[in-house]
Amino acid sequence: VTADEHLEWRISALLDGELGVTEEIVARKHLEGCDACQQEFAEVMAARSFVRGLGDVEPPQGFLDRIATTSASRFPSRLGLVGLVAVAAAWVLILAIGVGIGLPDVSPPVDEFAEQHLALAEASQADELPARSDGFRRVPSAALDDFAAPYSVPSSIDAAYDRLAAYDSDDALQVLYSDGETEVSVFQQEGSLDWRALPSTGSRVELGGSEAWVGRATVGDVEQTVLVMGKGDLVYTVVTSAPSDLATSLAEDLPDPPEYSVTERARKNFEELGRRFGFGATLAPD
Amino acid sequence: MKGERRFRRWATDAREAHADRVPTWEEIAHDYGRFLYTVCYRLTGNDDEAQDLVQEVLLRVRRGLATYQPGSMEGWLSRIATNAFLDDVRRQKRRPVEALPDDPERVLEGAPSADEALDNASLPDHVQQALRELPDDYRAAVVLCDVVGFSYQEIAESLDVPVGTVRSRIHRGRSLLKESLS
Repeated sequence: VTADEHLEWRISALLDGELGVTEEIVARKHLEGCDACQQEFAEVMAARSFVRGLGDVEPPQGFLDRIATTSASRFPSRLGLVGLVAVAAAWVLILAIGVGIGLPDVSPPVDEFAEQHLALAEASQADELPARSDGFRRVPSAALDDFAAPYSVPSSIDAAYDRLAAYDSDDALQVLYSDGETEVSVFQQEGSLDWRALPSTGSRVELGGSEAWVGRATVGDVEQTVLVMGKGDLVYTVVTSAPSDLATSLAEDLPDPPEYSVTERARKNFEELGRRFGFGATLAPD
Repeated sequence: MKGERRFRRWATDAREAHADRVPTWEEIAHDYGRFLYTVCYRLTGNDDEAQDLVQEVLLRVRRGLATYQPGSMEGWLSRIATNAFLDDVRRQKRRPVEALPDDPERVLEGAPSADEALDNASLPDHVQQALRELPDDYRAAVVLCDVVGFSYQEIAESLDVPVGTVRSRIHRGRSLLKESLS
């Protein structure tokens, strides 16, 4: 660099104190005698000040609490020392009162799931899967293989249906599959299926040793097949515009949910106990 | 380290509390969430994408926490956020496309006077909008420099590019900003 050259990128580096000693001396000498560089220096300094003057951005109310809660319950975690002590206490409590605490009852909102599936199936056909859809937020692809028990998102089902995307809401995880022509959504909810909440229409079928409910849901003028099945600690709801035999075939291929670890089971039991008896117990995993 | 110069305004208590140990994931989400959201908002330019990016960063944090060395948590988070942002940009090949107004006269009609332009330039919304209109690589460098407070060397390491490229991106980014705000 010489004192005759315009400063160009050196203006920013000079402002940021990122020039070497000699470079800075030469740059300042040039600046003293160059009106064009002085003007640009002033303008760049102003732009830099504007950005630096931007304040903090307040996250939407409850956002940070929500992601901490969601992530802690859905994504893998390990229990720390405090958690283990608390879990031990929970076991003692549960054993002491001799109560077998089950998982919460789940009532799949069949019509809402059908509507949600149709919206995403149409978006998929248009090759425009959205970042969020009516309370469901798309799960980053990097996280798809990281769900904790009992959730899982297999990359394909029934060999022909490949996973397109997964969406997470407060109540359910939705995984969208397609064979290139037909879309299928598999909703997963943690808990035990509450049969009483299912529509009276539809029928019960035997499916691979489990009992399932198969019915129809109409969204606008589009009729969807809906299959609901309890499996392990999950309630699966399969929705597709295809006939019920396809839904049945796909449901048979759904994996048995991974089982909780002993400590995780204890934690869930303790939380459910707190929920039922109103002492609001939660054991946050670390 | 120059990168520390602006970190002081973020979560000072948390920095002191975690100075010599690895914080838990929940502590990070709680103590650095606001800082992280601000960086993500400056990178993405809107609330929805900022929320998505914060979630993506926290997922990466959860996986990488075992390898974290006690030090500048803000620096670590900023690096993860910027790389997650640029990964997403490359993956989706998305660029914010602003529709041009149907009637160009509308713009001319409402064009501010020179004084108004100067006043408007310093309004946070105008600055944020100008920042958002920068090419992604320039914006990442400018945010790391002027929002996070990284040195050029730290930015080069974060983005895995030479320092010369960082100098160029920052200056070009600021030059575009001054044109946009003038």
